[in-house]
Amino acid sequence: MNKVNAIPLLPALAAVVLAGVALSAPFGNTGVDGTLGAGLALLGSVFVALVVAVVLMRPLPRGWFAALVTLAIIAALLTALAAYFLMQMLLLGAMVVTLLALAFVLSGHRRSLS
Amino acid sequence: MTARILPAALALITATAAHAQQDSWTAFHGDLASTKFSNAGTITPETVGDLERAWEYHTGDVSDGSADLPQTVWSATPIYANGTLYLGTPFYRIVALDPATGAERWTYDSKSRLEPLTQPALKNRGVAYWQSGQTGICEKRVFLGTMDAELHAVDADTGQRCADFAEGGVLNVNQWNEVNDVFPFSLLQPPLVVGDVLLLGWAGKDWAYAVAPPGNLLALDARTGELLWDTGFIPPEMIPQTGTANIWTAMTADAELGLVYAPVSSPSPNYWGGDRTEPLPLATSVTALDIASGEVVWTFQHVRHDIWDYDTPSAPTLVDITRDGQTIPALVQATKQGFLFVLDRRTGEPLFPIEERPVPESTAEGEVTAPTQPFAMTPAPVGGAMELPEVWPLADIASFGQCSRDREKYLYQGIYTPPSEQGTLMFPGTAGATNWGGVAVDPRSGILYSNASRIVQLIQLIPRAEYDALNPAGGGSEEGYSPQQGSPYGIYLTDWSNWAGIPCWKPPFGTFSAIDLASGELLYEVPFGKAQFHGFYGLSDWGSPTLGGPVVTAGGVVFIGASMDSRVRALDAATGEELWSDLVEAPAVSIPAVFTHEGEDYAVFAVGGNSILKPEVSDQAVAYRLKR
Repeated sequence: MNKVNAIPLLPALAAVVLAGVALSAPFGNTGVDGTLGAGLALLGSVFVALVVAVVLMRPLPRGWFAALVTLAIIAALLTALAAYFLMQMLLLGAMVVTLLALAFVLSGHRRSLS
Repeated sequence: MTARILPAALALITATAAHAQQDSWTAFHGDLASTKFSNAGTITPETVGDLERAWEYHTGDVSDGSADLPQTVWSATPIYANGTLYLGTPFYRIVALDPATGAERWTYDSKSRLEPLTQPALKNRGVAYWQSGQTGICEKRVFLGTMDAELHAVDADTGQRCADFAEGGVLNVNQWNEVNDVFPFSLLQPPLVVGDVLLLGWAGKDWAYAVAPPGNLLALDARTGELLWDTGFIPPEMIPQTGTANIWTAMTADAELGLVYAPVSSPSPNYWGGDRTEPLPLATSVTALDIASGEVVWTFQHVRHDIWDYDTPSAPTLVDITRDGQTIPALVQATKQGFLFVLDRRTGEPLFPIEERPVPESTAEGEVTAPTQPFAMTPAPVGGAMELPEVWPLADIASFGQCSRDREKYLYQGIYTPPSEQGTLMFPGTAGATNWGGVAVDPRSGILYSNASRIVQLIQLIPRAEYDALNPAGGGSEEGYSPQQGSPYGIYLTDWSNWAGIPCWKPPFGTFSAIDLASGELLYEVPFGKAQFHGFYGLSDWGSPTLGGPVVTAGGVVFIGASMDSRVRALDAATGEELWSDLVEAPAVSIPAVFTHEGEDYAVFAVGGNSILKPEVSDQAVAYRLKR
């Protein structure tokens, strides 16, 4: 994996941390700590980070690649939506940045393929 | 339809300065008149953005119910008096704090039994303050009640018990619980202090028994604890068949008129009245009593033959109204039904029209419903309480039409639809459009402010044999099954929601309103707060159910917690717009204390939570002031 490919992973990992903080509130009340919603947001963040890592870190057959990218985008959108309704704006921001970074890397990937 | 009305013409509200000019916050609702108006003037819509946390204090008295102790419900209004901030806690302790720093000055532990003897949770709504005007030990006192019916008196400067009060500073109030004593007189609401008299009601165990202790108001000597008088609210001949009609919430007094205004609750059992069909004129009423003698001066019964637990939930608020050049001492009684009854507080006569409207009849065994109920349509009922909200498409779609099917299945014929075996949709729900928070009034403008919940509940009567076969756990809970032992029916009560727990009725779930008491005109009604389900916040337009009440200040700001989303807020009194908010640890279901200490204005919230809103509980007290 080159450095450019790693770009989406950074906000995705940041999202995992932020979702973990929202759920477990190590620094004080988050308004959603211990809730099902925050748990789902954490699961979504972890899923997005894993899929992004798999997609960008190793070569995949074209069909798998497309399927996983689609899954990552859907999961990131749902997690961003959850973050909005959990009023976790940093998490929302991290998910949006992940999506943008993923789009950036994928557009480069497509250019290199063509 | 009949109408009772005083001659109405142009009406004008004038300031009741005598009741509102205060920089302290010495009672549950701030003052004897329960205006919940604070003279704090530096916090305005322009400056409120500069609010900061002055301090935060944790009492340590909290339980989520997962271990040995029952859950706590902390709805205490902090009391600011004697240059000190006093908190009562749900472990029945008193904490005295420095209002500027939150530093602990002293604590007092009543060592009360921490058992849910009457309520399903350990509850406390604070303490009361009395001063004699003399100097010396126990010439200033703080009073704390307990779940097990003890009233403790301690010195306000040191926290030491006052030896001259009852038995070494502790009064066993349960000594007067001699009739139908199926539960103790729980003292969860602090007494009202008028001069040297303590006026004391009590809380019981709701929904559990058909025959229960008959409600009464006790007047005690603040110095000795001696019983001065004891006035009952159930006619003696009815006592073998019923009970309660007690006073569990705060009261109001007009010291000049020498009257105390008692918000009297519903009689037992709460959801079936076949054994108490005779008139109980003082039940579910606001009743004025002579403070000197305990004699009932007038009463206004706002629910006839109450079978909805629409007990009078809050102290009435006193305000003076000027009509045709005459000043009329008035009283506003907020109710669970959402009606605001505006009465002449000298006589109990309505100052706006009250219509006696026919209401549905019950089909339950032995039940005889009242043919009519009083409707106060001016001012308009808060929270849109007269109209059942429509089915919420979101909840309906998510449940494949469950909500629509329920709407067809369950009975609803308007407010006061009787509980039924078929299941009745009850709106407002048993927690009411308004509850113990009551309303706030700015006596300078005569504008009333009120938060209101919009909760639809399902109430079902379960025939005794069927109920006994079910043998459900619980009883005396705040929802679920309750036995109403001694009646032909147990009950099942729950919020009307779909399989996923999503409310079946269309939002808003809570509102905030302003009403001009001169004309009765609704100035605005806006969604208030945010609902929260499994952590997810609702949209702003959905609002939130609320418990707790507002305080309005001379600076034109309303302070209020009350919402599900664990925020405390400052609203623009002129528009209801949210100006400021802060996240706290649980819903702040108390009324804040807003006062001026050493030249600075403070708003202090007790953050306790309440399982009616959501499971989170806390022991946090938070003070706010403008940045220095």
